[in-house]
Amino acid sequence: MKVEFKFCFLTMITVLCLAASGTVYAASTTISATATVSTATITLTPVQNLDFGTIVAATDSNILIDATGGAAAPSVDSGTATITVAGNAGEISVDSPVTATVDVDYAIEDSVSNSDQIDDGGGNSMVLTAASMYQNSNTGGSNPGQLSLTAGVTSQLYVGGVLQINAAQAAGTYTGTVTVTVNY
Amino acid sequence: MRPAATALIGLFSLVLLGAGGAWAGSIIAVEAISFGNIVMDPDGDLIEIDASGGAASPHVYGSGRSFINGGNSGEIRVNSTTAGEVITLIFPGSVAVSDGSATHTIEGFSARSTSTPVISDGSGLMAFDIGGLLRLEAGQADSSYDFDITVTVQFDNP
Repeated sequence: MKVEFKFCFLTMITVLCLAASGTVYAASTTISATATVSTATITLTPVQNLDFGTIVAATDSNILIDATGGAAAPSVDSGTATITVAGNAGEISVDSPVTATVDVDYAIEDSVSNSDQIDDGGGNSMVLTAASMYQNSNTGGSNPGQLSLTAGVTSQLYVGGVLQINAAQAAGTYTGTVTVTVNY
Repeated sequence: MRPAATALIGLFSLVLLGAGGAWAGSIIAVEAISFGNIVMDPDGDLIEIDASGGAASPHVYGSGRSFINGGNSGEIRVNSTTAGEVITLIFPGSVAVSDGSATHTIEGFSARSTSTPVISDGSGLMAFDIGGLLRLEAGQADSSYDFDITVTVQFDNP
């Protein structure tokens, strides 16, 4: 009788200990992670220079290339100037290894680094402002603006602006540099 | 009388042992992590997915100049029907892959994933968002890199 009682007591102790310790269960799983990495950068290639054409102006005049609608020719925005040889909007092709929307802006400088001017290299300059950009068939025209790029697809970027000609503007060929920058 | 009573108590003890496993939750689904398409800074970069506050997208960590398109945090879903069950996710310190020219790692999982331990309310589905910090080294080859991260989910029924 005495032996049986002890065995019963030990069993009860075991049960209590199990209940107090609880249970721990662990399951493992594998979660995958991927990263597609490219070191190639977005490439901008000049296709066509921004060209206001040949202009004859006897009064203050503004010549507009409105590239907000894509490729465009210059027109007389104000004044009495005459465009004798048509020009065109600037055009740049953009290639990207990824589909992305990037910020794009551009700046104009003459030969001595004056902003928003073009010059003839002889000390005469003209103001080129209100530059406009346009990409493919999207509405655009802001600077800076945004450019939607599709991986493997070449996008076109058009650049226009307003050229201010003074009545006493010296005759000559005026040039400048348009720098387009894509920020990503 | 005494021998019979003793046998019954012993049987009860065995039933309790067997029931322990049935209480635990289980992993029911896993969604992969994607760091997206990355145009990498040539000098290398750190790309972070910080999912500690919920589902998240990758972004450049610090002052890097990489560009990222797309991507998402991962997710582990578990089923826990026992109120009070404590669930803890245990991550490796880091995982790495090598392309022969450079070794890339993902680290910092715990700090960028749903914080655990959490206590189940017993209602069933629980989701844990998983993030990490991808370290890209300069000089790596253009490629798609795949990492396998072994995560242990611990279910504790106190």
